Amino acid sequence: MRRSIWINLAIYPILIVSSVVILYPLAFMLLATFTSEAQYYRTSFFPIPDFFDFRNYVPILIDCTQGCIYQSMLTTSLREIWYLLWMLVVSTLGGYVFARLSFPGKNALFLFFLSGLMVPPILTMLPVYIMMARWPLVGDNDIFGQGGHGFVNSWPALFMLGMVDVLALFLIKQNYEMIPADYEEAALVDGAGTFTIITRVYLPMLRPALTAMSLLVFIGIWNDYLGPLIYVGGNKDITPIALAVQRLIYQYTQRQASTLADFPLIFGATTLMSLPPVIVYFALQRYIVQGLVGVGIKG
Amino acid sequence: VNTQPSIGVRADARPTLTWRDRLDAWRWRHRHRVVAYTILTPMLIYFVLFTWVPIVVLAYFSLNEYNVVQWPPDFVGLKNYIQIFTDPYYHNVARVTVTIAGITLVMNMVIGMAVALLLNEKIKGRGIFRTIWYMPVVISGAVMAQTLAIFLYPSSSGVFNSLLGLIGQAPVIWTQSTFWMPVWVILFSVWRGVGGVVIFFLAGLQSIDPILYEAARVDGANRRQSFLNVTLPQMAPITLFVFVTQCVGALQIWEAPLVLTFGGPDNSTRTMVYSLYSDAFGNLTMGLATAQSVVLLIVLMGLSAFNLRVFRVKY
Repeated sequence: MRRSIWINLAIYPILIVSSVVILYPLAFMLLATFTSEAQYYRTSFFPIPDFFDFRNYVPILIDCTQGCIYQSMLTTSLREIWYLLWMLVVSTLGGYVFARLSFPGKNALFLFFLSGLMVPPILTMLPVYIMMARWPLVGDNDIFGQGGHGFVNSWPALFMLGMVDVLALFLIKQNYEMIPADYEEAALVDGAGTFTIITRVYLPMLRPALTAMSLLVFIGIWNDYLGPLIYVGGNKDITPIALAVQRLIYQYTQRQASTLADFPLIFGATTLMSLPPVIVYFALQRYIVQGLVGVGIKG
Repeated sequence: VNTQPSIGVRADARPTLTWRDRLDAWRWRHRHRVVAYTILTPMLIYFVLFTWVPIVVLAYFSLNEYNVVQWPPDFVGLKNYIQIFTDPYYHNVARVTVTIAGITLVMNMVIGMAVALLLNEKIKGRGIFRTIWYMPVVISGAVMAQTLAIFLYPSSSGVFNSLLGLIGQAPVIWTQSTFWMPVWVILFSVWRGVGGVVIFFLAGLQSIDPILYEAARVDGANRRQSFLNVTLPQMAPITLFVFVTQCVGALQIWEAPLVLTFGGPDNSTRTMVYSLYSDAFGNLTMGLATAQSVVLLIVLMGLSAFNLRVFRVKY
């Protein structure tokens, strides 16, 4: 069908202008890291770089004069590995169970897990905080959970929540159901056990969906700010990346409130923090539609 | 002794079998439930402990006054709820939450649908535009909110003020304006969230069967008619789904209010999630905070339950 002249005329201007609006803060952030302080203030609504080296990244990456970002990156990377592993294990095993096995109570159990999707994690944050702070016999707490700090402000707090990713479980279960059972039957005849069937037969076929879920988990953990702020915010030694960058910005802007802050340095930190998710997104973006939305919505 | 498990069904009819054979036979007959329960039991315990136990804890503390430290908490019955529903301060929180969420929601839906329709056209560079639109979703909201805070600097060195200066306007002290701060919170949320809406709508548009358009064309429909009679009705279910999901998300806006002005100025950006956060950790009134959580939780669970029920097919 022929496109009307109106649409042809309007489509590129609209798309380009809107893309500029979307990209403006990101481009600003990146370009500002290649300016000196003086240059930044001279061109304040769009920084024009006056050098192309990485001197604004040096203070946070190498000198560590205002606190270092290394340890935070390491902390967050550990969380990434931990949560990616659990997501993979839980969703492939759980998805298999719900998609391929029959057992009493299957539907009820499935609906029960499904209910987890209705509970926004942000609203169970307070009771989880209380539970962790009052956990018995941990972190100087007595048997009644009194007297100490429990898991709050300690390392386990960063690793013990959200290990069962219900959304991943469902999407992977959905993917299992699209795979014909013939493969499994063939493997059964060959004498394969459940574990072999999952890892050797299904895992390769689930790769696109698992990649999409991994992307989501990666981005979620990398950008997780409120969780660390509440659960380990009181411990200066444990700072996941989002928390570290936020504190760095705070230091730079609040301390120098009388004078003007060194914004190029701040943008160096925010750019560093934004790079990994953007790179991973660029590399894996085709899976988002293919593995995630496609399965979730159709049907 | 035959240890092959495949003898299964007839196994326990033969008295000469050892206990070992019986066990194998039992395991084979019940292999599905053995595997299922072995895998599901730890998952279930964990899920209950960190999803449903907290809700019970939440409900309990909403009936108490509790400052995180003192034990036991003071039981006060429905006092917290009465305060939330009668105190003008919390009426303001509700009004701010609904206003910001409502406008964000409408903008997300309208812009998201428009952009998805444009990106669904076969044009050059479609992939690039799609990549651009989704980018804000992958970058940390807290960090971008901080960037916005820097853009909003009151002096003429702030980005938006220097833009105003370009067209000859006096600088605005954004962070003290009860009109502008909610606007910025909304614009920020749209900037960050609309990419997700676009992706969902695009997926919906692309899953419409081309045969329908073909049939419309054969019947002599023009572009407008095929849009009204094919695209719109086909997109109705996914639009409803995205609407409810976005509604749930928009009612939980907290990053921009927290980072930009701590709910200010004059509580004009004190959304409910930020409010319960600051009640809990700023004022140490855990009871009020948990009562707000319960109220919001009921609303959001209602919305999500509706979504799950209507779109049951999906799962």
